[in-house]
Amino acid sequence: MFTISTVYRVVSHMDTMPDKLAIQYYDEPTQSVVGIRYGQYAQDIRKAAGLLLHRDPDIRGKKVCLLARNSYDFLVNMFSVMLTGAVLVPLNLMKNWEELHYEIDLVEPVYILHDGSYAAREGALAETYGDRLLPADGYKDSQWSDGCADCPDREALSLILFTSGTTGRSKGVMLSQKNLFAPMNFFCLPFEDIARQTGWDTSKFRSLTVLPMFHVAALTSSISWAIMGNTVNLCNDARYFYRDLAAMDSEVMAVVPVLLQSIHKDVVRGRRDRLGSLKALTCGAATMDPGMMKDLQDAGFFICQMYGLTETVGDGTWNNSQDVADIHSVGQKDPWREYKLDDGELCIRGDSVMMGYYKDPEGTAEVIDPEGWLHTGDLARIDERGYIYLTGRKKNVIILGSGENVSPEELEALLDKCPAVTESLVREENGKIGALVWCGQGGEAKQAEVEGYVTELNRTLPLYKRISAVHIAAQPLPRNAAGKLVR
Amino acid sequence: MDRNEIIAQIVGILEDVAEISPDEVREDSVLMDDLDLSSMEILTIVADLEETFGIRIPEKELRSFVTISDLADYLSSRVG
Repeated sequence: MFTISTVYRVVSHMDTMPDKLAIQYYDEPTQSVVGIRYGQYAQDIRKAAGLLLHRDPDIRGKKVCLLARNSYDFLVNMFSVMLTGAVLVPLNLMKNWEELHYEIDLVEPVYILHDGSYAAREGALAETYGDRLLPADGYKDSQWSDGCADCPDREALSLILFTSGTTGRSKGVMLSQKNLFAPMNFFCLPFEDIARQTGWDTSKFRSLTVLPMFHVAALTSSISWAIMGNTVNLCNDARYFYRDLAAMDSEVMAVVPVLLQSIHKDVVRGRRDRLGSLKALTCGAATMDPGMMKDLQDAGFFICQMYGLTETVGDGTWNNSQDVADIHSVGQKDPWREYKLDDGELCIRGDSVMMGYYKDPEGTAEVIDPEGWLHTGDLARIDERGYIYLTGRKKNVIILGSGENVSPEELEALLDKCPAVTESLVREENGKIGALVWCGQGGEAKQAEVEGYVTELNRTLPLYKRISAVHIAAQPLPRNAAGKLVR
Repeated sequence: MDRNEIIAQIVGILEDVAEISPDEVREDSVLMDDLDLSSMEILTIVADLEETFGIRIPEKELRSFVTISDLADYLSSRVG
């Protein structure tokens, strides 16, 4: 059992193992691996907290955005902002300016800590928020250091994570430290089980983090790995995955379908050597291909499956069964949470359930009922052993092979701006985004025009949001009695 | 390096990363649609191109890579 329940206590815990390797990353300028020990890590977090408090002694409760690639600086700032009592708001680097601008204005941060990578792409960031931008590596020269006091109110807002809404705009998921630490046992204990099942010494496992830390999975795992006292190897750009894996040998890695696919390809094509010591994969964020997972199990990999939501800090289910009969299940319940099915929809209740959506009480009331049950929007079945199987989705959201969630309505609104398009329906096609458009009678003749429009539209969208196939409908799109598109 | 050589390099990398037959690749092939590449495969291809041509491709350029031709144009401007 792990009993650490605040950011302050994680940092104090780091002090107890000063010589253990905490973080490694590949440093481009020197083309070498840099290693940071837990003692140094804790010291840097205090320097960053001290600097923030020096700038604003009354920072408690104020919002501080963090806009940076996966990096040691990201982690130092992540811990330090929450340590000071300020509210951390990590932002998605892949979003375009319009989306990011909306999110920043919604939370009204006092500061935006950034590493310059987004500013290099979008000049509007500095033009709009120049006076609030602070360098994410500013702590390095900090003359101040502050360990702060332990979190006085574990139920106070500490973190806002943006998640794709089902009706266009993204929603800010409000989390307290009580929420954030609630699933930590559920995230850590499975590694003891893996050790029992395999005989591997999981206490020495090093985890490669490729998934972006502004999403819940990588953010929480950077905390759970500090609690376990293991090493996190940081990959700051998915394109350098193989380089980083070769430079920083790792036993475990969290994967989304597109990463699983790459690893599967390496294994079946006899290129296992480029994966080094990698032997355990935690799969989540989207539906995985059971055939690929089975192939990897047969090749000696330990495959974990997880299911969770940003709204539950990633808490939900974990599947450690290596029995092929259980491969279609996302796993068993977190024993510290309550679960039920409401008309087939999976509902979760307990300390990991978010406080609500930021400045959106209506949206909150739609997903958290008066009894405190979070309605996940996922349809499920639970067998007699407690294994949960996802059977469909009630909410209107596309979950892609990259794990990113996309609102179809947002892309439909963009497609509908094409002069040739009368109406459109965006849906998932094999882990990617496909569009069905109605262009009026004889619309087939407009295929090339629509495709040309989509090609140009795609240039304005992040990679994961690109529409990869367009189909011209032969008749108007079906709508229900209320006039809503039938999806 | 001339444009044809650059395209030959791209085609070779596509075959290696995504097992796409060179016959299937045209200049106007759309990476995610016609060639059915995943976002991870596109990133792996970009990393391989960087290594092949000894360059670093800035993040903001990635958005403009929709077709094979886009990639070839960009690489020609850098190493042509």
